[in-house]
Amino acid sequence: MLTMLLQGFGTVIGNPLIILAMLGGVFVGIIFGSLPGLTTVACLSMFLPVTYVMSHEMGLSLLTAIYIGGMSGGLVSAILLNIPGTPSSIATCFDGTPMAKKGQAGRALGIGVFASIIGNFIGVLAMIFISAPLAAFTIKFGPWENFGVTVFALTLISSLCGKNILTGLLSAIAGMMFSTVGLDRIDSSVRFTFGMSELTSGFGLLTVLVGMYAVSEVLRIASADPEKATVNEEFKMKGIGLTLSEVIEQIPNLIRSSIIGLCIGILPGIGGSTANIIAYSVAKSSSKYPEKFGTGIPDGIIASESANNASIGGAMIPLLTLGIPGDGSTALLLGGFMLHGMTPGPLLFQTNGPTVYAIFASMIISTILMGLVMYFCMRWFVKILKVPSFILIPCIIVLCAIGAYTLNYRSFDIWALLFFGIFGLILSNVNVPIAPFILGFILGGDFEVNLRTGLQYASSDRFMLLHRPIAMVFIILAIFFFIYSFKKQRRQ
Amino acid sequence: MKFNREAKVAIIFIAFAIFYLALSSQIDSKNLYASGGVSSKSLPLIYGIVMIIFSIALFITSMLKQKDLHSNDQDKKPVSTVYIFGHQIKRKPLYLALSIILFAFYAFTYTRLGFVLSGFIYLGCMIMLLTPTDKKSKKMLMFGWCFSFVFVLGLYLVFTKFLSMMLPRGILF
Repeated sequence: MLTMLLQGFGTVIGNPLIILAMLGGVFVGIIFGSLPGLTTVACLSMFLPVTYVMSHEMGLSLLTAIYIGGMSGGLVSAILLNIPGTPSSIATCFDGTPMAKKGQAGRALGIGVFASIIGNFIGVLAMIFISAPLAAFTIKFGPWENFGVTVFALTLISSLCGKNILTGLLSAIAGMMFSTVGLDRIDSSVRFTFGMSELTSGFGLLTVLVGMYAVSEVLRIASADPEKATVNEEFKMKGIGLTLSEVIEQIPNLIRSSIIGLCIGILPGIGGSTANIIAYSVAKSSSKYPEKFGTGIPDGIIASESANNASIGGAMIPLLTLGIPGDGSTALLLGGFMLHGMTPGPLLFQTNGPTVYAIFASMIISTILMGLVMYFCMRWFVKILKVPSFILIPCIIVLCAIGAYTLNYRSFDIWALLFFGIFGLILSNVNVPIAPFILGFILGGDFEVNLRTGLQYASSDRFMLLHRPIAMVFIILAIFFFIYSFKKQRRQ
Repeated sequence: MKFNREAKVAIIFIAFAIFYLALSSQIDSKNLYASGGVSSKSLPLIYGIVMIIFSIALFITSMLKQKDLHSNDQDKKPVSTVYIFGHQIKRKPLYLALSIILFAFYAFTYTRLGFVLSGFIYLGCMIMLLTPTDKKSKKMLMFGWCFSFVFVLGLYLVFTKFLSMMLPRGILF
């Protein structure tokens, strides 16, 4: 394996054009990831046809570089603007923005990039060395196991609820309610569409996310005093934003969050958008100082960014070993493989071993390139804060509208942005947290589909769930976690 | 009877849940027995009921916290105002309403006028609206409109020419 990996490094480093393509891919990915509304999926779909004229190694290295850059880029707008660039960086806002508001935007970005690099490395290394047993384990996951994971993820909402657990739970249920809009995924029953054909596919996650965070933020700033809204930021940062002792202190958080990201990334359909919130919740619950979360501490940024980046390696495992794409980005990567005449699956390592190991090597190099590009460009990213808010804010809305429109090429999604913007503003004005709503919206669909599919399988066996040990472990964990966090909150 | 903020939130959630439940009961559900009795309307009904239960719990707990009423009264801050046609109007609701109206106008004209024209109008108007009063000058407003045009046109060219994404052409192109 190591010989193959070294050969892969030789292939990538030996061809400067591949390095150049990866550098370009990482850069474009970061730009797409950092602009609210534009997604890695859109970027990958744009560059997929371009790879047709490239060699296998170059084309697939470019695509994976875009994937890595896009996942990391989301932290920029999350920290600087309080608007997550991608669904994977929602939790980065929680501590990233308060840290930036304290005048430490450079430090927050540095910590985020550092955590992204470590998360990526852990994910990619797991992909290289333990992908086979992990894939064999996750193939045992059926609807009941996925239901167990979803229930466990939903119980983590309790740690995102803030001071009042009830308002947080209500927000999460509202999110789950909105996830039921459109055609039912099991039997195609029409639900809550009010006769509008645009609503049959439901609300897009991107529309909900950008509306709730970006548009509501814009409306909030528009209604505040503009003199106070402008932030002046001097770029001050030493090293990576953390001292050596802080790095050592954060090692357990880094490893735990990366493992969470890796494991969730493997599960199809859940991915980075959930991994960052779950890792944040777990970091908060297991912290000695949970009350400091949300005030601008490194722990929150590290948990979110290491988890979402580790989910890249996780998502690649079922793609390479089983040919199963977990999300939109990996589906496009699957398209990239097929475009180059390769079929991901158990035989991929035998039929195209050298190319696969070249991709592994390119992912490691892309991670390093991502770190270099981010650290190099950080000084310029921070300058965004110097743009007066009365110019910056409307420009963000225009960008968000592009992202929403290009989802389905219809103006309905721009109206949806406005709707969720107003809704998000109302929720934040009445102190109802938005994060549980988003998590409820993301998980609501999977919760229902897995429960109903599981019940269909168990038509004659009413206690089938009890015979599924993996699912039971997750459900017991969920019960334990809920009781634990409820007791903890009562004590506080 | 005076309600504090949390109690009002609870009432709004109850109203929303009742509305949602009413709509849920109208879902034309199929597949009732094949999925173990859980049909396409089952979970929406459960969500609605759970929301009502949590909302009632929130209402009760908030009513027990009588302190909030006093603290909310103390929290009231002076609201900044603007003069329009000689009338003093609270700044916050006015600017918020104008921002929403402009966004709605933008969404309405997005495909009708095209990306460039609708974006230019929206961006220019928003910059005019949000520019602080002490910075408002003819030069600044001129800059705002010029910037809006260059920014929107630049975005249009980047997205359509370089990134091959389709944006509404409208009446300009």
